[in-house]
Amino acid sequence: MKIKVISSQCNGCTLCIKKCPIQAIELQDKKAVIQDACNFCGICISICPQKAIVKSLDDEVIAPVTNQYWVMIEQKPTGEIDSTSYEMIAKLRELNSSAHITGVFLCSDSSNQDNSELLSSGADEILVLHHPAFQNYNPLLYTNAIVPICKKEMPSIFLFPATEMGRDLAPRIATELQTGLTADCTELSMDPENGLLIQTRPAWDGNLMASIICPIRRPQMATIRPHVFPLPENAARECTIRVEKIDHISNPTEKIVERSSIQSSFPDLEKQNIVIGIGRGIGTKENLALVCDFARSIHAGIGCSRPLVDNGWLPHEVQVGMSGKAIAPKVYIALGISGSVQHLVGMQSSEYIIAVNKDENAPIFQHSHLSLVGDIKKMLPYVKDLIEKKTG
Amino acid sequence: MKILVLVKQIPDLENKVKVSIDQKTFSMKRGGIPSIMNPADKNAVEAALQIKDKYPSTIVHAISMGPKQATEVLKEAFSMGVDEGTLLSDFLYAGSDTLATSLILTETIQKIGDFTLILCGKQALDGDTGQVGPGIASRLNIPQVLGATSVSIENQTTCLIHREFRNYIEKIEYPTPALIAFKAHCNIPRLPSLRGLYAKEKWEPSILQNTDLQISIQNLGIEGSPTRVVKTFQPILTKTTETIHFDEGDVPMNHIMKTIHEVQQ
Repeated sequence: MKIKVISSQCNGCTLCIKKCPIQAIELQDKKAVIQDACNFCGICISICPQKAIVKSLDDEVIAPVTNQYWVMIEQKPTGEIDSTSYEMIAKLRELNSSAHITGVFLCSDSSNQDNSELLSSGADEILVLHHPAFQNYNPLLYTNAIVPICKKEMPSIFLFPATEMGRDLAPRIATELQTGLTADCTELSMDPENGLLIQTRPAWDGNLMASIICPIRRPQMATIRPHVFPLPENAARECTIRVEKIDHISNPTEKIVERSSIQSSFPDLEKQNIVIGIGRGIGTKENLALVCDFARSIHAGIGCSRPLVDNGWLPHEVQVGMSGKAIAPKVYIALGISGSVQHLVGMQSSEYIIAVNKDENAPIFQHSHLSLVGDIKKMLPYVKDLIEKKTG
Repeated sequence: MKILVLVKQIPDLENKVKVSIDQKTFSMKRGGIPSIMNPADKNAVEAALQIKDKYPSTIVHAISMGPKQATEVLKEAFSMGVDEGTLLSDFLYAGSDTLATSLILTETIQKIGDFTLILCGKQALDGDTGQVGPGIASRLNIPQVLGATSVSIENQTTCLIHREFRNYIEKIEYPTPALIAFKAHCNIPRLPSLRGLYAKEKWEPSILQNTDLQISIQNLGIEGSPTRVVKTFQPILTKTTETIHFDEGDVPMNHIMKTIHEVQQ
């Protein structure tokens, strides 16, 4: 990187020369010229009234990419492995069949761990880091365990699930490694020319998609939305386990006073075959209650778009979309949802999508298999009949 | 006791204004779009003011980074009851990704110094990364607590945090200082007081530029940002769809019920 003076814009006012703390600017032919002593403090850029001093990217180089990829394997508090980890491994394998993929797994005790599931994850190697303090997830301890090994082995790519844990841990690790991190990606591809990972995510409230690269620093890091990549039926390949005992970890400084799982009157959205998604088009709270009753009567999950949560009509736990949950049920029925990208990224992997909306041009119809154009309110009497038949 | 609150000005996306993108820099053109304080950040301001309610000698200091117009969110925070405000505004900071942004904010926090807690929203609605908070906590080497719903100060060295995280409701004691990121909707932010609304007209936050912070520009803006946006585009639509127009509600219901029965069998 360099600092340059655009001579045509410089009027020779010498303000930068006076303000430069290390006298690294000289006046030559009534124009400011930056000398080699420049330490890039940038004061001259800020103060130049002509905006004639700029940064230049000329000497940017691209760091080599390797076939070493890391994926964070997340264990949920219940002990299950989050399937996003496997989805990411499968996607990386698809992008580069000769990649060496390492699944990074933290646990409190590796001796009585059943590794069979991890061994068939599709990774080439599972790196097990264990320490008694890893019993409960803690961003500081996990970071302190992962960063030194990551620095030593410097994988080309390091992916995390965009779950609450991944979104907590990945930025802490990326900051320690001083590398880039792309949040909440929904698509990954490889640049055929330089092998860089192209990370695509919804941006600006999901009105647009943005493709992002990390050209110089390593690893190339991203968090990946759950359920955006298909889970292969059989990903298993030869896989080794490498156990590293971690001993430089201090004990957690926090004290858990109380802990209980969230009890909800709504069924767990991620486990439903059928989900009814409700949007602003539902109109009134009474209509909403009717549709919720209907969903319960047919044993379907209830989801919603953000405006209903913002209104306080439904809790955040049932919000589907970028700032809510990502789901992939067999059938998703969108009632009165216009289909902002912010919502679409949460449900577009559903197997079959039915949308009802009175606006023929609603974006949701471009993502649905069955588009029903008309007024939802006309359906409600029939919904009511059905509930009465079921319950009555 | 000093509580720092990080607030961000974002475009008011509920206003359904079409967002346009500068095709050269890939940054959003904000001109003409009304701006608001990021909702979760307002919850963080409320949480800070609740601490001040209990311990009136507390100084609540709001920090924002952005163009000069971001003064507005600091004025709003001030009208709610915040004591002090700092705006980081320098065009050297434009184009910073989350790594560079967390550096700029951390340098500012260290300049202000001597804080008990840093409060912020869990994520901003516009960028939606939620990465800057943990980045700051990492740089300061302090604990981070994401998904908080409330915080109270227990004594000089500990705070008690309620949070919802990974499907659990937790009540945890943390040593201070710590960075706490609040969930949107976790409390009801107070309205500005009349006195606050009147006083904010005359009040100005301190404005810091890079001449004050003196961060090497290699670490700022596009140079200081390891990530590059290479393309923005409207999502491409791939699904083939069958469309049915209806006037009577039984038509869509029959289709829906038929599909449901097929799945349930």
